[in-house]
Amino acid sequence: MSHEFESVYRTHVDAVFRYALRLVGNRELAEDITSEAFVELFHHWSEVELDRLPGWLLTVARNRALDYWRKTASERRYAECAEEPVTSQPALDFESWIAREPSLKPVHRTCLILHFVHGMTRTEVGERLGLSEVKVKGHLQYAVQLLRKAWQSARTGAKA
Amino acid sequence: MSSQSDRVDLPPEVAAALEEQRGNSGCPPPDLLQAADAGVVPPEVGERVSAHLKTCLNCKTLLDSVAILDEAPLEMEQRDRIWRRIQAGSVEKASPKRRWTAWLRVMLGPWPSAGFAVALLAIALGVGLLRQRGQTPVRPVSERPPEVATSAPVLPLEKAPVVLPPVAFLVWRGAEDENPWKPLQAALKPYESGDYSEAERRLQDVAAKYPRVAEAWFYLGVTRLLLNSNDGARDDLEKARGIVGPLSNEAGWYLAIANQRTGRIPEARRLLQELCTAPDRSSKACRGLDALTPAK
Repeated sequence: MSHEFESVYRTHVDAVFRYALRLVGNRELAEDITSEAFVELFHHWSEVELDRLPGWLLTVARNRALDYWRKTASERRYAECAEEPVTSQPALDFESWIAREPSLKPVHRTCLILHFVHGMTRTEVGERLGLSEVKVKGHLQYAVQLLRKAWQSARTGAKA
Repeated sequence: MSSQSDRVDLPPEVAAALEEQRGNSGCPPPDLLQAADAGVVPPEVGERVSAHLKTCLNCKTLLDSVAILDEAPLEMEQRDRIWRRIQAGSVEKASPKRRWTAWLRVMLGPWPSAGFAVALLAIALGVGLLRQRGQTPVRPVSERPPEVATSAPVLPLEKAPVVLPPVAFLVWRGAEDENPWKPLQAALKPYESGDYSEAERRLQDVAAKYPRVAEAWFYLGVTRLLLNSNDGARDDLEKARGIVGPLSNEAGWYLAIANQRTGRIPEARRLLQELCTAPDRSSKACRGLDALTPAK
């Protein structure tokens, strides 16, 4: 086995995966892109200097992501998200509450927005974040408890 | 989209207000949002997303939060999965047939007959050289492709947690260079952090210096399995299993995995049978035995 290649893989796989995930927002696709980047490295092993890593790998990942988004009808996907005027005036400004509530951690904010704003199921949220459905449910329940309290305070304040 | 059973319970008025938020948001899909932020979408889409971000706090919050969450290190299972894909990808791309036909096309290009003659000469020379050497040429280590398992993995490989006997933590009364536990604990640090190449190197030293310590051979064997060095792993785990102690059964399990990966299926089955029928029955061994037993 090529210990050197394996060592390079173990050193850089996290960074390449994180970058790929940022580019495509999907863990499975990010894994595909990551593995393709290392396969490219493997086939250009004698030409690539190790001090050019991980930049070389990140460039391959970026090119793969560009190809992906070129082939995906991203314009059409965005067009499907219609924007219409808001009709009601809820007592609580959800956007501000989610962004500023100090008891919420990034994982709670993300679960809330993906589930309630984007309509993703707990399973889909879990797949996106690399969490089990049970964990997502727990995070949502915690956040919803806080939301209920905030909602009740806002209503009481609004009535006063 | 959310199903009714999937919805987290909310007071009706809150649920209605959130439902309205969703319908009116005009927010791009989360993956598109991230991609636009990273600058890998067509320019017109990127411009639309930028304009949206100026007014949508939810999308800004989502981008910031997800950036923090996506910094989490990869799980070992994920790293192994990506590694297997790399192995599959590298073998497919390097198929000898493709290399051979590509080479022929180059040679036969503008000067067909001369190219063909050169090709035949090269074949003859190559075959002659190979016969003389009696083996295929060895490329330098850095150019060798990653080892591909000879049998498709069937028995699940999980990293063994580090468990040392109580004596490892007592004050050592003998000569310091006779104490195997300190160097073993140091060698297990890269194992625990996932640096298996370094762990292999250090555990090899410890096992060589203290050959009667089963733990050194055991963790060296598991490390080699994780590195897909299955033949080496097999030797180490046999040594671990040969030293009577609390690790015998676990060493037997991992040895079964090494045997399966190197195509020694009857040996793997025999080991699993032994573990499955032992007084402290191993349920994973029984499941493994079912997986390796052909259906009738």
